[in-house]
Amino acid sequence: MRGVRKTFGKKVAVDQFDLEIERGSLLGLIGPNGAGKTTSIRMIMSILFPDAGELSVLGKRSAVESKDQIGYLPEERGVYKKMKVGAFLRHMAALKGVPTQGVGRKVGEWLDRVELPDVLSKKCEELSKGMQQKVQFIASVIHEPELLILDEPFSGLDPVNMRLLRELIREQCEGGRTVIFSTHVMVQAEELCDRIVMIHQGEKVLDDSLADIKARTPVTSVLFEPMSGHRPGPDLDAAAALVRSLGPIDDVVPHDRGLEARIANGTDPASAMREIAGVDDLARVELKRPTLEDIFIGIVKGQSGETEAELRERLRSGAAVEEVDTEEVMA
Amino acid sequence: MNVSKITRVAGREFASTALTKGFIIGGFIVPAVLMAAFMFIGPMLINRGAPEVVGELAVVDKSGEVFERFRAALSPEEIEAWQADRVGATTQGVQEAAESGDIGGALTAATTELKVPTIRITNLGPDLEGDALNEQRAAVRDNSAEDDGRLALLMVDPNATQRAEGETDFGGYTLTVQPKLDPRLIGLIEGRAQRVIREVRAENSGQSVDEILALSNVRGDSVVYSAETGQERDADTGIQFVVSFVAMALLMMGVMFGGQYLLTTTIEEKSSRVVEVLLSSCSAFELMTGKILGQMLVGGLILVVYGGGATGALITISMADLIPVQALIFLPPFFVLTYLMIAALMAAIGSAVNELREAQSLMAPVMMIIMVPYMLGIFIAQDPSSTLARVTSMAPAFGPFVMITRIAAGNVPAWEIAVSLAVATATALASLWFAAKVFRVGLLMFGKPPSFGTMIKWVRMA
Repeated sequence: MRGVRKTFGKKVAVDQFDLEIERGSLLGLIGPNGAGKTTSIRMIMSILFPDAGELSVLGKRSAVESKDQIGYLPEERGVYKKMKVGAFLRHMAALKGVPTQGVGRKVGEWLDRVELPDVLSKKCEELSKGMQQKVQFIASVIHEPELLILDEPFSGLDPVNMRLLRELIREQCEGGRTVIFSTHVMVQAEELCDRIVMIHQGEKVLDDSLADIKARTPVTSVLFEPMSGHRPGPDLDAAAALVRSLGPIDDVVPHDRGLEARIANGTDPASAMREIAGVDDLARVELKRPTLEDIFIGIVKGQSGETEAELRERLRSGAAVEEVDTEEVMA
Repeated sequence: MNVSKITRVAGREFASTALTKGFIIGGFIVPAVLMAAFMFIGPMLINRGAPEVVGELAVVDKSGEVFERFRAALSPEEIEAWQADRVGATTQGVQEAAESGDIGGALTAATTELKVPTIRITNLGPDLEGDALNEQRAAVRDNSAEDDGRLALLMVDPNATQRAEGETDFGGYTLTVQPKLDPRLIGLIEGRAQRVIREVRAENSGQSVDEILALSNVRGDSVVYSAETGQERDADTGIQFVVSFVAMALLMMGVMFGGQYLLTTTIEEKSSRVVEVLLSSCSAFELMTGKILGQMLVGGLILVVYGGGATGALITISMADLIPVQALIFLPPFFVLTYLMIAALMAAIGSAVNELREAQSLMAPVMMIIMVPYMLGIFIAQDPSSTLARVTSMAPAFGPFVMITRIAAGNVPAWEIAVSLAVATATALASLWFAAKVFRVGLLMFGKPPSFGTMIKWVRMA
């Protein structure tokens, strides 16, 4: 994608968007709800068409010419409710150009793989939401696509199924497929992806490998926990006061399971950590590496007019469907 | 454009509609059962449902010559004999009409059957006048059989059987009846009254009624002769009218069945969000084309089954010559073109709304395309060569409905059919072009349902 722009009425959904993806990579497209992830994906899929800019997919001028080589699991997933699971998957496979011969065996193998061996003859509406999601995942990979696009694939899944799906996505990538994985839950991208593209308000704000992003983002905090525990009380206050008095520490604030010491600018994190470790009666001391969420907030803070807390809240809230509203378009 | 994907979408669309229990039951079994009920069970129920009438029939015979004969003509024995003849004839008539597939005839025959009434005939004398007469007429109320009340009052004019001095016309009678009296009983009373008056008049003039009837009765038949089969049948223009109207109804049925299902399945795919998965596999145009073609097969199936049934019925009742061969030839092309026009609009509407309820307001213009020719249908079928019929049959949108009615009703010049086909083709193409644009944009639009104006903006946007 080069210089891609898409507007709906007066709303600019995606602007000046450049994206080049290497074959075989697992790219995380991340950003809060409404950032423009789904619109970008729909343009890649040729479901929407850009107002400006260029786009090519798998060497073709648009996905229209290469739809059979692309697997797509949209954010808003649906099935034919009255159709049986086997028939639905065979239909989707046929639409993707899979020859009829052998497709039944493939469907069976995939259902076994996602731990749904008994649903072949059940109607889709009889399945739970999580089960339907697994069926939809099969529909997106049954034709062994070269490019797999997954839009918020984990939303609505329980932890067990999340782990299963994570494994399946990794398998796809290890099998040589290019995977684009969109999510607003940055931890998920951090666990899976080797390259991250961050979008905010329709514009790309970061595009790099996860390793490089981490490497060049300085460690600015040390987490520690007093021996007496991490519940609020005099012991925690005393430990905080003690660490705050150390030279290289700017501030100490509560953190999930203890305290977080913010290292003063220009201070070597290793030396700050050593000093904190010298404090008596600490059960745990560790460097706090910035998460993707911290990095994202660091980049966009000040741009959107939202406070850090509001941004974090928005990132952690459930996925909201990026729908195109009739009135918005006609505004 | 990928033909195999279009075929696949069309196949699923057809299977998910036509191979369902709902379609088979609603489209074929229920109509067949209803038809059977009309033909056989209905007449049986009607026969058994007729109420037995018990009550009084008062007579004011101002002529002084009618009462006794009238009472004799309505004696229980006379009525029973008359009824036995009629019931026998009626039952046979129902049976014959039902066997020949003439449902209307069967119903008419069945409804003429009447149980034997128990009527008490009272003579109120010849001198009842003014308020006294009106009082007696008022006594004819809406009585129930249990009341044994007055069913009717027959007043025979003084000059009913003898002309008054200097007059050329005879007088008659006035029958005052209960508001809800069985029309068959009214017919019986009037028939007997007329017969008796006619007999008295004939006797008074020294002639025989039978002779007069024989002199005045001229038998005549209008027939249609088939040179191919050498057979002749009654020339019944009513049936021709029905045949041409049925041709229009068949076209409407085929078009609306397919169109309505297309609207429903499109809305379902959009609201269940499966549409985005489909759009990842084929283009919006391929999806729309496949859906339209799939439902065209559904509409075509309806057309073949119902049209075949109607044709079969005409052959069965030896009216094969009424089958409008020209209409059968032109029905398929007109069906395809009309269906494409309506279905494209239905697909556009389905893609633009989120639920069936929202589609109602957008459906109004489409329904007008159906309703206008339907309302004009009677006039067009009656006079298929009128200016109205000729102009509307070549008009865009509803032209095909009118033209097929004209073709079924009689010979239409070939050039008029060609113009109608050309206009229908242009309309279908315009409709498809419009729908393709709306479909592409509308499928991913959610929120407030659009107006037609908004859809036109989408067309410019797409």
